Amino acid sequence: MSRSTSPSAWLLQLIAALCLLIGSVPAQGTETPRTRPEKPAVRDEGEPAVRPPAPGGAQDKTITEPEDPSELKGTFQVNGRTVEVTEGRFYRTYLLLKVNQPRPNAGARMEQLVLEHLMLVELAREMGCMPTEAELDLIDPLKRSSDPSLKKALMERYEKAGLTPEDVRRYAAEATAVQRFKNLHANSVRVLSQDAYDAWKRTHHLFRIGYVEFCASDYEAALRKDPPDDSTLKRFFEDNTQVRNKLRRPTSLTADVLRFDPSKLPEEELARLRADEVPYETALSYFRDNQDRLMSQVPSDRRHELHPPEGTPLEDIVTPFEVLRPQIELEILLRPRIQETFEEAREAMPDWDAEAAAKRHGLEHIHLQDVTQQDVAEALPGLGTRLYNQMWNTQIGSCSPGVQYSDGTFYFWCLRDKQISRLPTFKEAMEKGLLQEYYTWHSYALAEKEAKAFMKRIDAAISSRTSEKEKAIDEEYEKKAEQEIERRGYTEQQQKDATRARYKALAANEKRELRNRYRGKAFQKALEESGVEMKELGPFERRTGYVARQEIEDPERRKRIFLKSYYALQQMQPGDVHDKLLSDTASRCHFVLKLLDKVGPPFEEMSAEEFYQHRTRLRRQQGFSGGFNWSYQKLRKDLNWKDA
Amino acid sequence: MIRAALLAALILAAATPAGAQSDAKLFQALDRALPHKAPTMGPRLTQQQGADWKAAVEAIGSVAARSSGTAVEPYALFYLGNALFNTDQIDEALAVFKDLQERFPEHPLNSVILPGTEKSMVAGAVADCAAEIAFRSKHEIKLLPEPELDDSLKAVLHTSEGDVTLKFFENAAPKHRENFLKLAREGFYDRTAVFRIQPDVSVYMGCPLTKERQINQWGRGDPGYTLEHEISRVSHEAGVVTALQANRRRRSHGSQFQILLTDRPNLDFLQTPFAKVVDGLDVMRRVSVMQTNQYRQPVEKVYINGVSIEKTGGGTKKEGRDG
Repeated sequence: MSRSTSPSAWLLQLIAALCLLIGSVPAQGTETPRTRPEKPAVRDEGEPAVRPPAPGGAQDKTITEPEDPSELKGTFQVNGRTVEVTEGRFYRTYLLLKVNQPRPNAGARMEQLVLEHLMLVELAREMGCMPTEAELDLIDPLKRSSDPSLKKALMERYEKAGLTPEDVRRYAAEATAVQRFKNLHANSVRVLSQDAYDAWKRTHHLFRIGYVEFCASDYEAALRKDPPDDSTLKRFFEDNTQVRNKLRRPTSLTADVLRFDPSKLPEEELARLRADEVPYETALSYFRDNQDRLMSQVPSDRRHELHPPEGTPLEDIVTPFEVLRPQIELEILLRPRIQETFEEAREAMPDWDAEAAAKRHGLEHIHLQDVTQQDVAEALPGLGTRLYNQMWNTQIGSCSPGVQYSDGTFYFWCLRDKQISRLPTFKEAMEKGLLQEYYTWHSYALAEKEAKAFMKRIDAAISSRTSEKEKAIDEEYEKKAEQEIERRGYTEQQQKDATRARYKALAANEKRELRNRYRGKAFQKALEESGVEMKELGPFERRTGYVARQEIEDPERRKRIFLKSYYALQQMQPGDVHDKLLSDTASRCHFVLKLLDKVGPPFEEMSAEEFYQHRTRLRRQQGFSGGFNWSYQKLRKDLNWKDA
Repeated sequence: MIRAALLAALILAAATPAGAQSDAKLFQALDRALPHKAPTMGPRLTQQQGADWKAAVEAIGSVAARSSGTAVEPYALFYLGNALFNTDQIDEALAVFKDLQERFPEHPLNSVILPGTEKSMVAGAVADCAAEIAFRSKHEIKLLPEPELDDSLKAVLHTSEGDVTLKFFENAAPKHRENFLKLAREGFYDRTAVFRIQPDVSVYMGCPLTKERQINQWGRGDPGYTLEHEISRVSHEAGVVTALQANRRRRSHGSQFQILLTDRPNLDFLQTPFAKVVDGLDVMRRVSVMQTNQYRQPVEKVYINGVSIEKTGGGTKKEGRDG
């Protein structure tokens, strides 16, 4: 935009300037207006304008003033126009960015940021984003600010960096232009309804699959017809560490627990007991000794009494001791009953007859014979894990340290025996079901063998069509690897090996894609040759989320859940056959999978909430990732940067 | 001095061509109206907040009207078209973009094809509008309603630090609203305490275990059920009351909620907002900066003494429990 000024305009401006000049001369007798004291310079003499990069920190390449500023650094293309960047321009831009921009992101190289800035400025210029002179007058900090000391401080900062007021203006123009250019993109994010629908469809596809299954259960019946002899079983037992571990004798212990629950006492007995008074001091002392435990046992319907609202009269306030007193008295009165039994047991062990003692004193007796930790947790819920560990850490023939209290009951225990975990003997393994393990293992292995044989048929059928092409691919990539080694001048064996390995991986990818193109037909051929039946399942929506399939009784259901939740279905296209054998230990089957059909549900099945959710997410993602469209790497590539 | 300066300013204003100065101011006004401001230096990793496109249409539209005949006009129209698109006014957006194409064919927005793209920015926008119109001609787009606060009902949390007044969204999260009202009427929230705070971010409430002494259990209580998520257009901004997420995916906690003190769009679709604080946010802000213990609970306990529900319209009628 250009400004046209007529002679009359110039004259008016001159008059305005004269008015200002006349107005600034103080009238006689008046004081001069107060001026702010001059602020000290921003930095002391000798201190650099900008902190140099920390040594060993973000790796800024040292950028120094060029000897010949007109020397060409590089060029790039914008809309068919070649833009030349001289060393001088590059250096001045570097100084400008160092003074004005915040410290770059950790690891970002300053040189890249300078080049990024230069390229963005040209793009912004191309889009007409450069501000006019009139706009710059509003943006230029030297023109905008009316505070002379601020201007002076700013200019000192620039001058220390070797910059001029023209540079200040130039930076203001370029920063504004780049900001506007980026704003054009940040504010033109448009997400189509089709995009939202596609995003939703990806998680709601309906799949129909075909599969061939090889299940252990199909082979087990045949195995059972010809049971193994003892020597075979023994060999299986000795060779198979997994089975031995599975049949391992776990850690166990044997103990007697005696328990007393006061709440199970008959009412008459409780009433008789309560007739005995417990002195206040005794109850208070007991409360103090067991305060933490007792406070956790305040009845829930009375807890609110301990948090009286504001303004409650003093006589209505209750203390925890008052709330708990009935329980305290009961404990004091009843404890001796189990305490006596405990003393007896401690004296009599290991010959103590727990059952008789329990009957005599009216207590509950629980005998634990060769129990594991899990068994104890089930038999005595609430104290199971803790109790097991306590018992385990006691000597055989000893009892608990005293009468314990938990969850409203008193109890103690005495340990009779404990056994550490060990591998079973062959005899013990036989008793635990070694034969069944044999059938389980071998039937699964047989199923796997058959499944692999089927996969081999498919692979053979593919290879008959692709072996020549695969060979050609291998040769091509080997050649490329050697060419790269030569071009880069690698001499170290490690470098050569790494390059060859990289190209080998690329070749493997291409061969895999080639083979997958023929896999569908090869699968069909293998079906016909082997006589195996392909089953179908679907249409279904892919399941997500964990399901404990081992706990499902129905084996068919287990299989269906496995197949429906297989992650790779999402990436497959109709006609694809998965190139890996799928093995499911829960259903004990192996599968070869083919995707028959994949259909996105109609748009009408998408709810308003889902539509809104996906659309908003995409808007945010596009806005977020849009910022990376102007990264140095992308600009360099798109604008075809060339070093001079 | 002042009179002279004023006179000078008036004369200068008369001398300066109006176009140049007004263009500058219009560009500034346009920049201010934009909902998103891109970072100037590098691709900074910040999540884009939700934009208020409705407000943007008005703001940008105003600038566009004022910028007629200036260099600002094409840019204003481009932004306006995008804002209209994002407020589902696709026909209007297309009209704006086409107008831009016809009246400014040489403008860079129409003539420049940026690297990595196949069309100019306006051509791309026109194509998008056309695609969207074609899609909508085949499929009915069900849009969620714009959330509005129900002025006929409010809930007041009487906390030990002061009262906080909430209004509920009329057309968003009705089940969460009813659940909150039910629990409030039953006295569920009475004598519960704030169980977690994040300074100037949020305040967490609604756990029944805060009535007990064991502070390490606070935040683990619930009424025994969870609620299904209810997605709406309410975004998680400051003042919004949102149900906490339950342990199960896509479910809300049955009673626990947090009051936000800052915008948190990352919670959108994870939690269900159902109300907004209309009075007393400063109380919550004060609570959020209290001294905390190792569980991030205020050392000095902040209780909800009660929740009162008030119906307005036809006289104010208080119901439920008072503090």
